[in-house]
Parts: sequence; C-alpha cells; structure tokens
Amino acid sequence: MPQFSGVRVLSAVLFAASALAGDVPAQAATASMTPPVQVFIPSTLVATASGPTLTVKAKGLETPGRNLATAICKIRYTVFDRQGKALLMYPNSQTICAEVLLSVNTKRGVWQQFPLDLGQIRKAGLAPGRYLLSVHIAMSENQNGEAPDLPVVVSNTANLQVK
Amino acid sequence: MRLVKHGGDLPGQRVGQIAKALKEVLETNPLTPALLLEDGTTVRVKRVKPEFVTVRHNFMALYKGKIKARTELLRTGLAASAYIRDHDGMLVVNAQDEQRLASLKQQVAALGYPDDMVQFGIDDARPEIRVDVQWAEPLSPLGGLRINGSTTDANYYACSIGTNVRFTGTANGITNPQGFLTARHCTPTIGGYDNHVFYQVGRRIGKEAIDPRVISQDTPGCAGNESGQVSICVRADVAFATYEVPSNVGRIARPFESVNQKEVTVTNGTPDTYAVTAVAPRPGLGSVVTKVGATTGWTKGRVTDDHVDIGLTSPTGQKYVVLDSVLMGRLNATDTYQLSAGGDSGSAWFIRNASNVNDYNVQLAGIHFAGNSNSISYFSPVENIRTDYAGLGSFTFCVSSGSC
Repeated sequence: MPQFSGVRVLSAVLFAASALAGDVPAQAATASMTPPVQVFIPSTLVATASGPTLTVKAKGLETPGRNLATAICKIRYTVFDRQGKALLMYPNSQTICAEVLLSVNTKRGVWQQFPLDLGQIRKAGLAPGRYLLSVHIAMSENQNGEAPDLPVVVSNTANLQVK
Repeated sequence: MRLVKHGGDLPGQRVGQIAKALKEVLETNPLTPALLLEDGTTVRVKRVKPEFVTVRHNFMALYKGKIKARTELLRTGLAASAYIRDHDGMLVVNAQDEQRLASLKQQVAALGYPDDMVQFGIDDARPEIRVDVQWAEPLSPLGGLRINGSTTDANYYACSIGTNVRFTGTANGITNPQGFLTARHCTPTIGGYDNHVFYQVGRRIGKEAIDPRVISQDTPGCAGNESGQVSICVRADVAFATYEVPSNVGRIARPFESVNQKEVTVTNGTPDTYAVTAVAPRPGLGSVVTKVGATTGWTKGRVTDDHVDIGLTSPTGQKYVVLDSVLMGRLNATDTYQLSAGGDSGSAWFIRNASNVNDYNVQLAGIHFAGNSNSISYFSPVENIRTDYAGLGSFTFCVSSGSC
C-alpha cells in the first residue's frame, strides 16, 4: 500500500496551486520556458474509496513535435487543502509502478491520455471534505533516461471532493 | 611544443622566428585544439618554446603512409588502428590480435613502406553498441535490448527484451517457435491477446503470441471477496512474443559489468552475451541476482523477499495483482545506484557464477516488471512463469548446451 508520509512538494506544484482556477492552461515549472505540452484534468473531481480513475489529457504544443518519454510513476497528482498546503502526492517515492516507458508526443494539436487512480486518496486516510488537486508530468528528452528531465508540466487545478 | 626537423642545425635567430610564427598561428587559427581546464575555461597560448627532434621521415611521408593505411589496412580489417606518433616521427599500425599481426606485417612490407617508418602493436579496441538503440541486421536481438510497441506514439510502451526462448507448442500459428519473454504490461491488455507488434527501436522484430489468462478462480484473494469484487491476478507479469527475425535461444546482451552500463562490445560482428545454461526457479533470500535492462543497463541486487504480492496499474489503467514475486534491493545499504526504472520492464534477472567472473554462463531467475525507479525492483520468478504457462506449452530457456 502506498505511503504518504514525507511527501515531497515540487515548487512547480505550489506554483500551479496558486492559480486556484478551474481550467487554467498548463504551466511549466520554469515560467520562462514554453511547456512542450498542456495538461488538462476536469475542473471538478470526486474521490471515493474505489476510485475513480482520473483521465489526464495532454495536448502537444510544439512544431515539429518530439516524442518525449515519461513513466507511470512520473505522472502524479498532489492534493492540497483550500489554503494551498500540499497534503499528499501519488505516486510518490514509495510507490511501486510497472516500469514501462510511455511516450508523450509534443506535436501541436496531438492529444493523448493517461490514467491515474484517485482511489489512493481515500486509502491514504484523507478526511472527507473539499480540497484542490493538480497533476504534474515529468518527462525526459529520450527513452535512454540519461537526458536531464524537462521542466515538470502541471495541469490546471481542480476542485476535489473527497467522500 | 616539440618540432621535428629532418637534419642540419638551425641558428638561434631562426628558432625565435619559428616560435613567433607558430604562436601567431596557434592564436588565430580556429582549428587550433583548445586546452580546457576542469571548470571549462580555455587556456590561451602564452609562449611557444620549440624543441627540436631529429626524425628519419618527414611529416609528408608519414602522412602519405597514414592515408595509404586507411585504404589498404584499416578498410580491409588487417589493421585495427593507425596513427602518426609525433614525438619520434613514426607511423604506428596496430592489429586487433597476435594472429592478425603477422598478416599485417606481411601486407605492410608488400605495400612498400620503409622498414624504419612503421612500428607495430596490438590494439584490441572493438566497437560497442548500446542496448537502447537499434541493432540492425546482421545483429540478432538479444535479452536486454529496448523494444517498443510502435514506431509512432500510439501503443508506445517502451520495455526490454527479457531473454530469447523456444516455445514448445503452437503460437501465432507457428509450431515450436523461437521468441522472447517480456512483461505483460508491455502489451495493451493484461491477460488478453492484442496482436501487439514489437519493434526494436524502429525495426520490426516480432509479435505478441501468448499473454496467459488471468487467475480469477481457485486462488484465495483472486476469486472475489464478500461483496463480489474480483481481483485480476497473475502469477507472472510475463508475455511471450514470437520473433520474425533470426534469434539465439538463451542469449542476453552482456554490457561491461559495472552499474548502469549499457554498452556491449562487438567482436567480429558478434556481441558479448551471457548464455543461459540453467534456471534458478526462485532464488532464495540474500541471493545476488543480476539484470540487464534497456534503461538502467547492467545492475545487480540482492533478494530481500521471495513471495511478495504486488498491486499494479498498467499503462492503460488496468489494475492487477502479481502474486508471489521476488523483491530485490540494492547490494549494500550504502549503495545509491538506480536498480531499475521505467523501460526496464521485461528484462531478465539471472545469477552469475560467483566463483569465476569470466564464466558468462548464467542461471535465469526471472523477468522484471516493477519497481520504485530507485532502490526496489520486482521480478516474476521462472517458477511462476512455468505455472502461468502450464497447459499452454513449455519454454526452453537454455542455449543448446544447457539443461533447461
């Protein structure tokens, strides 16, 4: 079972949390860099013990596009309280993931989607109530895993109701 | 700086003029090699102090000899390397081994090189190829190499080849085909046939053949709980794919044996490999096991638990539980290397002969499928692979001289 103690909070996530808007376009961790993709999630989410599976959508912004690499453990969400304090992140450094590389095509207009399990929020013991959630994706230039990671791309911030 | 001269003495004034002219050339010519310090700064030439050495052959003669070596010696494979040794004005020509050295000397003599111009040596440098790039023909795919599900982005799923096997039975309409093992989640559906094509970095090499049915009955925890909820369970996160290109059963790429190495030496067109000659169906606690994967390359770890159930989500969002897996940790508590990461799924874990480091016959232990991208890895042991495939057919894991 995933552990949520000692959650690391990325500055990029806090940056996104400050937006607190429903469908704000994705932002890169480094404000001066153009993100290679935009990441979108529904503006309202409900988490229960059994899920649901959140579908994360990424849209390419580059011409010509590239095939960047990410992995299941590198597509994460962070839950914040209403004041923007990070409470938990999943997957985190303790999470075991299938170790397969996934492609993120950055070609402008190309959409792709990735699943994320929101059921982990209730399993982590988060009390029922209203929270905020954003998704962040870390990518590498290539599938060798050697190139430095690109800036983490963060989604819009969603209102989350935990039941 | 050391200069060579072909004979005769030079007056001091002439030496000074040469030094000045050289300094000017070094400062202005963009092709001047830069001397770089560790911090990346460039050191400029401050002073040129010529030192004269008498040599037998002038530079032009040596250069012509080097050019001739390219076409007559290097291209034909007689020589492995050739260069002009500046400090004594010799042309050095190296053979790859002693056997070729004799032929090289004969050819050099036949080509009319002056006897005192060439010095011979051995240079066993060989080409290397990484496990995460395309291995074009005539190289055959091996365990440890990168595979993906598409040349485009859809069904990308980059993973690793585990090991080459022969399947006794029928798969993809072929009787007793050769193929390879990889992880089930490197195909779109866990426990289902997707007709999934595998590419070795753009080169089509094979197709999914068997992804055994999941366990939903007769196994505690997988047959459904009190509320009727059924878990998808598998004993091994391992799928079998048939090859469409030639392959060698029981062969795994052998990089230089150091943590996270991915470069494999190729000698005369043959890459270095491990040979599977036996299996270790379920290595016990404390066993030291080695892996070759396309992302983190060569790594070694220690079994910390040998019966772990682990819940996973596939790239398509399918949740499933892998039963009785082997949990690996780094060799020592103080180690910091990355044991495995995304893209290593499907790679083989095997046991080396601890008493003889030059023995590259190994015992296959299992197929990698999960981890925390840092210090923890999981693999499906051979014992579980056999159980999952029971009734479908059986695998030959070993090279022809092996016993499995």
